[in-house]
Amino acid sequence: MSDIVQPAQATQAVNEERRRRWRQAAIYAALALVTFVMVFPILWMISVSLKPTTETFSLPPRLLPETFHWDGYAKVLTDPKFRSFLINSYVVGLAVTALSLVIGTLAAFGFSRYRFFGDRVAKLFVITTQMVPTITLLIPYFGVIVFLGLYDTLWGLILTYLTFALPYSIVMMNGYLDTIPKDFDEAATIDGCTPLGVLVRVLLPVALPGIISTAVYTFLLAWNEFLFALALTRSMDMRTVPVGISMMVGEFGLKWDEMMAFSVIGSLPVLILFMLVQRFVVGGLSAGGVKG
Amino acid sequence: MIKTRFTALALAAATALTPLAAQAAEIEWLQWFAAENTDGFYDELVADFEAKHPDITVKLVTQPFGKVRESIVTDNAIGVGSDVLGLNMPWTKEFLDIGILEPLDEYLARDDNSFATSDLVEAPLGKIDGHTWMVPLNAFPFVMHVNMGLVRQAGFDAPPATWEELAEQAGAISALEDGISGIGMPFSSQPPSNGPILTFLPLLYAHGGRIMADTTPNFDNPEVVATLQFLKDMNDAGAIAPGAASRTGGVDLEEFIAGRTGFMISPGVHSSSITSRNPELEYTLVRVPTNGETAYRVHGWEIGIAADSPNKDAAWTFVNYLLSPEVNARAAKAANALPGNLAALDAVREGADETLLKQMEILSGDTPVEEMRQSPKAAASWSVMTEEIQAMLRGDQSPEEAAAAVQARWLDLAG
Amino acid sequence: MTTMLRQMTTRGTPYLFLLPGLVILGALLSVPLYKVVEYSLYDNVIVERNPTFVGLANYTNLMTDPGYWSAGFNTVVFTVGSVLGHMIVGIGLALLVNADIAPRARTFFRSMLILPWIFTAVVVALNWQLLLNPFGLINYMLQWMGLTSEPLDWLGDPDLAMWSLLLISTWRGYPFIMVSFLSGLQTVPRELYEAAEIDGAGFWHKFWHVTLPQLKPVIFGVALLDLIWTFQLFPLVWLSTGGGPGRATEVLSTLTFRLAFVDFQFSQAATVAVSILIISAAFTLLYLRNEARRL
Repeated sequence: MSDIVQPAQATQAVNEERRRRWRQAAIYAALALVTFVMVFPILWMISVSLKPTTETFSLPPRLLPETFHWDGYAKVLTDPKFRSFLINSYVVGLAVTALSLVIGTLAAFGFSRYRFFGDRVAKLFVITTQMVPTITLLIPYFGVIVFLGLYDTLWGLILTYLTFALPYSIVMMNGYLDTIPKDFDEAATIDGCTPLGVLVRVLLPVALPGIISTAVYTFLLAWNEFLFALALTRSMDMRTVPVGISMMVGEFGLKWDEMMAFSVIGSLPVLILFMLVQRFVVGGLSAGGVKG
Repeated sequence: MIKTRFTALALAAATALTPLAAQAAEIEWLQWFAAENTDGFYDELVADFEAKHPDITVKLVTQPFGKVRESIVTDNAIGVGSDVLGLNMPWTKEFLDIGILEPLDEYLARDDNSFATSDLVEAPLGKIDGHTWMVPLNAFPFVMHVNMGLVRQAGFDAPPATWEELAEQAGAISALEDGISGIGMPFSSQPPSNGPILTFLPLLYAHGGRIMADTTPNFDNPEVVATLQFLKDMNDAGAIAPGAASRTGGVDLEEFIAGRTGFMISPGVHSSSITSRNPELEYTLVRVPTNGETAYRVHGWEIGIAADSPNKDAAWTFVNYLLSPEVNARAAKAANALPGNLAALDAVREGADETLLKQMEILSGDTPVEEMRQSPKAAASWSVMTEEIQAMLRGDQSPEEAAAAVQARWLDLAG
Repeated sequence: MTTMLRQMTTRGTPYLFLLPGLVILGALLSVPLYKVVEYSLYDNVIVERNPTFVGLANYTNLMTDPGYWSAGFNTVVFTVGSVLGHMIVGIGLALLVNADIAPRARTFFRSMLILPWIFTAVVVALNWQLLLNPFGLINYMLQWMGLTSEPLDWLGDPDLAMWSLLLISTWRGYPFIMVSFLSGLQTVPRELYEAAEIDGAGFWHKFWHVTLPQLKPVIFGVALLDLIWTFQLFPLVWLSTGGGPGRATEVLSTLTFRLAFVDFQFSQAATVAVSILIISAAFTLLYLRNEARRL
């Protein structure tokens, strides 16, 4: 019997394999195509960073520079001002990310796992803080920061971005925690875990992908923010990358090559950081050690 | 009331932080000049000043140009404004209405000044509400930049001097080939959305027109309509670069430098970027083409003192230093501009190139005009002009209608 | 389970978890939020040394201002268009990069696809201005491919400007949805897919009947925040079009900014801000009701 069945099974397996490969090829092709389309504007940015501006505006427009012109990069890499912009942006971004993850996850756990008096009001307040256009908050908020003595300090910026990022961290971590069945908690509680223990030992490992995406969001929020960075600092050595970039948009002209070069250089570490953390955005519940 | 409460809080916080501030006479200078093409120059200037005045320290606060106006208002509201302010003339009336600026008449009348008030470029000094509010660090007359290569290619041997010649040459240059335009008109809404004050006003002044009667809008007049009509005719003839409604001043400049437009009306200071970035361009600059008038729009970097400053005397000492002929000449050279103190002209003339000499000729002979400084809502006013001129160039309204619409909306803003 | 929950509720535990976050938000934002509402009740503030209380006069001004309604209409178009664009592109790409491909390729594609997110708005706007310029690369390619005969003024033509803005906004905003959704995908228990596969479910069936229901909390949260943010998105719009040409792309946030920092009418700006707050609060209440029903 088995002798008869085997060839059929084998052909089926071969067919299966062939279909799988074909599907893979289709996925790669689709990915390559969309990625090219989406990255195209970035290629243009890189191209601008490598051309003298006369070439950027010459006709017909060309994506590939005639000769590589590194002046923008040279200028940005040798000027200590730019190094300080970068360091400030990274310090602020990383600090905000760390703080907002810890504080946001705690609050999200509270919202996700408990029903308590005032929970809807508390959540409404959290989201409400996002609803007023920040430009109108700017002046009164500026007053608060000056009052707290945080004007022209990186702490002022860190606290500011923390208030912008927290509502997101809370709502999103709440969403991710809600996708984890409550049976997990109960099993652990029966094993004698405290609520904090449940959060740290049981839920967080499962919610790691969510934590990563919240972290990415928070970091980029701080990394990209401009209006408050400008208003709340005034010493050159407290300024961040977006402010530095906007300084290149002068009254009498724009240093296109330097601006794009600085954007590209500043973004490389962000990209590398993302490459490193995105590995954790894989898995699935059963692959984790929850039940094992 | 709301504001003063904040100011009180802020002052309390500020004094708590820097209890020694008052004794050390530290003054802040907020400006955007150090972010322009003048690497390190202002740091050296401040160091030089501090060496000469050991009792005063100056902190340079540099903002991006596009945000200076907002920063000054915001800082002032919170009570953390700088002492010495870098300014643009169009902000005068707006700022003095808010109470940001200190009247300078009394300071200008002091007899230990390093300069004579009569030597200063006149435009920013003109009294508004009975006082003088700013002094000129330097001056940028508006000129027309010319791509002589394109002019010759189109069959002319001299740049245009009149409107008629401008229209004729710009049309001929546009007809040369695809992507080459006669003249650029940056009427984009993108901030600062100020194309009309860069191109339309200089043409209007060269036609003898004006847009303000003291601080009242006066846009609905025959000269304005004639100038609008001139723009519309050039546009209909295809002499203006396509996409005027999305063209920013920056793109206008870059396309000129890349050799793609025949003419560009803008401050003379652009000549240095043009010649340094594209040395191969056959370039010259001329007076904005006129119909017999020799009035020109003048722009510049101005200096004022904050009304809230606790160190006004120290602030004036610094301003006084900036205006002394020797320092003023250096500052002008660093910015490739003309000096605000005309007594420094001779020093600037030494080693000046042909384009700068031409600007000096305009500065010394013609009538400078700057009207936006009288406008109670300058920034809003030029946005309105931008919008109505866009609609006119699109064919949605006639020049008469555009002029009437701007006038009505300006009166509305002022009311 | 219910007994356990009840036990927990009796103690103050949830409040302790919430405390740090609420304290920071409350301390820093409640005064400014209150101030904005207060500003809207005065004739003018910030630039006015002695503001006069005018009650709801600013609100009646606003309601009778056609400029406000047209900005409101543009805001709805911009918000709905952008959020749809973010969602469709973001979720589509998340599914694609979540496919079972070599880990290195996955890292590469994921990283490349978040690039639009890591540049500051000034650079994004200026770069698109270059690309969309009448003589820019996009017009050049369209003409080369024979799709258009004349260069189009993407950001300067009132009929095209909003579309261009939606393109820029979609490009800028999809990575956020993609990353959030991608993370959500990882928490879907694999068994659910396996069970569906045994039942012979195809890709779409699994997507509609397993993925989407499982990810509802994440999708709703992301969509709500994206909606609220896009509703008042400022820098990208202001720097790309400045609300123009004319007022063709003026949205409530640019109107707010114009009133505040171009016209120095801070009270009128605060009034628009409060109107944005009220509309956003309505969305949020809907969301919270929906969430309560789910639990």
